[in-house]
Amino acid sequence: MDERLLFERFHEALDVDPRPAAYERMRSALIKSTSTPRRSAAFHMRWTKMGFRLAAAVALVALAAIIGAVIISTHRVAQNNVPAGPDAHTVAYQRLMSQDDARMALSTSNHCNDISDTGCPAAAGKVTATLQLWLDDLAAFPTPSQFAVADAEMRLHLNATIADLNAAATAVTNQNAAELSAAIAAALDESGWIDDMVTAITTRHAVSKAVYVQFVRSEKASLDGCSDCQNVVSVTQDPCPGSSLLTCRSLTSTLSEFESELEGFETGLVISVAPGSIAGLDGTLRMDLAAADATLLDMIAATISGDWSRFNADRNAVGTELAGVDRDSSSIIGA
Amino acid sequence: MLFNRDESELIRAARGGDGSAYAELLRPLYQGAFRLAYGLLHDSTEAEDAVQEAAFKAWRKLGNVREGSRLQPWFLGIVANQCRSVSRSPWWSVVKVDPPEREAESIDVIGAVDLRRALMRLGHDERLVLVLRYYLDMPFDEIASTLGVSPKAARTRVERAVHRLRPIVQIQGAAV
Repeated sequence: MDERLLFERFHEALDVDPRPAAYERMRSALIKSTSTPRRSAAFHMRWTKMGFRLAAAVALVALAAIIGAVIISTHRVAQNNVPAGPDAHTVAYQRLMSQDDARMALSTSNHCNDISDTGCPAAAGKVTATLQLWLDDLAAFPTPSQFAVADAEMRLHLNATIADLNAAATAVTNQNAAELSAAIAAALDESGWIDDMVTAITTRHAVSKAVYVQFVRSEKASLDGCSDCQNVVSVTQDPCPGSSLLTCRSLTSTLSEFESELEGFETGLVISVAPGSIAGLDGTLRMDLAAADATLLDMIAATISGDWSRFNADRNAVGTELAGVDRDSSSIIGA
Repeated sequence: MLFNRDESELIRAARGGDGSAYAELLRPLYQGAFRLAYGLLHDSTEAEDAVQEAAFKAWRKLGNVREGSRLQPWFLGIVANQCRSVSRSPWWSVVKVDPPEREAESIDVIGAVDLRRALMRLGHDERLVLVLRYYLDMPFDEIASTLGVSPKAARTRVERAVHRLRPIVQIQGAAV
């Protein structure tokens, strides 16, 4: 089915007009209201994401790296409350990110859609080679302190994407359709996360305390209302008894939504330079978010390997990390 | 696209609390907003309520709209968030798979219901990008404006969502 057919299918399924006079009813309500428009922070960016495949060792090492990087970053920020501006080094780092992101985009192609695609392993290999170059670039470039957390997370997700694509190639070789679908879905999730984080890194700018606090308040409310996040923390038994965790859509969908929530929060904090008075709290919040993100990636890997005990250990950890995020957010809102 | 003079005047009046001016501002946006809400919620009444609630929220935020900004993506973003809130409400637990509310002689009703059911099994963000792309027929740059991301990121999200939808309704061939 091509794109044109998708358009047709969606219109067939959804085309409907508002009931008669629907607009007029709204207009009447607006006119009757005594709304007193007020200014409030406009900060409504949303992002989505999630990943499936990641080797446990990579995740744990990366998690340790993130925590170390954040501790260093937080310490630096606490010492100097004015975040680094767009100095030449920062601009060079942002340019590096944009170039590597563009190179990744150029290396992708329309392959790996099904197990009959014999060109998939070569196509996947082309992308993974590009991603490895990106990792090499990051290793060679001294990370600006304000991007220490984002940089560590970026490496985690780049490695995850490589693992996803390798899994996709293997799935084609082994003619395993379910594994190919999961691997490609995960790779697409990861590439979306990477795109969003690059956008965040390259658009980082100072915001007022009011705007920053409003963003944190908004994201905290969103996280508090995220039933999927609560489900992940509270689940105590296999939610898909009798089915493979790899193909358990309810679980993977739940984890995806959870990741989406975290990503919006993380990238928003990368975009917004916290005011000096709350820079330390900002650093702590980013540390807890990064830890939760890394743990969630490991949970996703656990679902694929079917390692329920590992999943449960991660579930406990992410619950603690989310509590930290909630505590950090409350501190910022009350600051 | 810059504001035209009429629109600028309407915005100024609406910011001052003129409900009639604000309603005029939303008139050309209403159809698209309703379609977005319907695509996300699959219920006409809920969609109308969501758009109206979003309109009130948007009114309070109108002071943040900058000259030179387009109103449509800004408003659609608020509508999408409102629909997200609706679908998170405790009572919103029934998956809505009613047949399309229109004449059905020439369409594949079973296929349509399957697609609607499949959409409701996706997460809000995935459903949102699919509706923006394939129901509101938006190009990627407009989707990007609505979501507040780059056009490339918007494309990636659509591709991801199509990939997730595909196994549910056997959609094949979309570029991944």
